[in-house]
Amino acid sequence: MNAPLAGSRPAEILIVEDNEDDVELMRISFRRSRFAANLHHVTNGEDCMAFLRREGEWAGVPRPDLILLDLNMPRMGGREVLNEIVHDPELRNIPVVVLTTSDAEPDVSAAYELRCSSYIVKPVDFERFVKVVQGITDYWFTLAVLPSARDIRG
Amino acid sequence: MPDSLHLPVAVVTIGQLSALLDSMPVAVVIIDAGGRITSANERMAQLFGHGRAALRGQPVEMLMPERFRDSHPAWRASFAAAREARAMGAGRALSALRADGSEFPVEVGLNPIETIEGRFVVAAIIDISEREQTRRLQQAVEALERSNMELQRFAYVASHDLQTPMRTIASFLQLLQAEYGGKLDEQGRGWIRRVVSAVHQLQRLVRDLLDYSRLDTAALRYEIVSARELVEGALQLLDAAVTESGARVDIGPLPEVTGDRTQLLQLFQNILGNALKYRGERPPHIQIDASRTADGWEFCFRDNGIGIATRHQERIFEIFERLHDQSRYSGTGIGLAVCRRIVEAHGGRIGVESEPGVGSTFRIHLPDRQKVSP
Repeated sequence: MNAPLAGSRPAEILIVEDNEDDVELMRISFRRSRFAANLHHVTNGEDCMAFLRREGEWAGVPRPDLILLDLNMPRMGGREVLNEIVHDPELRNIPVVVLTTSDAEPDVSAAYELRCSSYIVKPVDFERFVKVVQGITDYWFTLAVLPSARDIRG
Repeated sequence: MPDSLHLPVAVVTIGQLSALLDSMPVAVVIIDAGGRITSANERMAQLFGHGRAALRGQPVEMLMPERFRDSHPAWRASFAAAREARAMGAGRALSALRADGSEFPVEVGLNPIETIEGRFVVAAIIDISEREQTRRLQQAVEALERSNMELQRFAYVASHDLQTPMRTIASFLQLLQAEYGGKLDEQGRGWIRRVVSAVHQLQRLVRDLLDYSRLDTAALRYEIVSARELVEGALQLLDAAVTESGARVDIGPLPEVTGDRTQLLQLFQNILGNALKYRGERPPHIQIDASRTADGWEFCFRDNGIGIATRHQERIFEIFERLHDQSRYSGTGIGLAVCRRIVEAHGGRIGVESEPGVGSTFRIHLPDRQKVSP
């Protein structure tokens, strides 16, 4: 990983995911991709909202440039999180990429209706995971322009 | 429930009343204050198998199974006191007894009536055996439908939830191989390879199970589709296999049919995929025809592949049934099970004729259908 240059910063990515193994795979994939990112992690929807609002133990956290959201989580699932984010004027311009197991049409449809930025089905193994993460970072931090784009070096 | 009626004072005699009730298509019996049958109409005789004369003067309790007889007089007395029309034993299953000793379920309506000869009760009796049977059948059907839906949901949820730990196994095995493979000897690396291979097979099985379980839940959308277009579409999807095998495909004239486009495409793709996969030494030659039947179309898919022995020809349509091991022909054995499900969902039939070493002919019958989905 390159040393951060003065005046630029790594991307802040919030991973909302309750499965520890999938989080670990994401961490390894990001390391492999050599994309400079600070990965933050919460395990459920309630903690996600608290993180975004910088409440409690998350008082000093940075605002994420991108959220990777799993749909199946206990105690406030992904759909509810999407719903809350989209209705919050402070939060709704943070892009949310749904990264989840289900490829069922109703789930996909519902997520887009709640204005998720894209929907990706979790790949079946590590090699594919690396490709997915590469794709995400290429798209969101190289090709597309983010509202928070200023300063991100990647 | 109507209010207590004043007993209608009928200006009739029992004789006149009987004559009136005679012609009714419902079994009616008139009972006196002492619980004895004063008269019974023709339908009563038919229903119970007693002659009308034999019924006259008998206690009404003879019409019911023995176990109910003791308590009945008390019911009669309370009804006489209440003096209002009502359904007997509302909510209870009532049983009646025929002359031959057999029982049958009934509904009874009671009407007190005042005649010139005094107070009587007119009882109308309806045989509800058929209704009961229909109700039982309906309950059975509903139970089966519920059970079916539960099983499908179970299959869907199970295969969906299995994907997460499978991802962990597959991924960390790959990582192990990549990062630590060098530290293992050839035997160790070989063992990891076996496990990786097994996990991939597991993933294929689960994915196929998921697809199979989803088939029914996806409601069929009926539209008029060109079978030729679908066959060509399927061949397009199988293009790599067609080219690699040097296959020759002859498509005869094919009709338009009414069916679910996506499912029919899957059906043709599976059949054609098999024809290409299970080829023998020579390049595959596949012939596709359709012929008209009395109530639909029969599609014929003929190939010159390895064929299927007669004793296996039923099994191959079962889920996960395979005739060959993975090393010779890959796959999970779900293709034909899916085909059968699709064909049956369309109200059709699928079967195969085959000779090992010569080839197979799959016949698919799709019935005509008038209505398309909105």
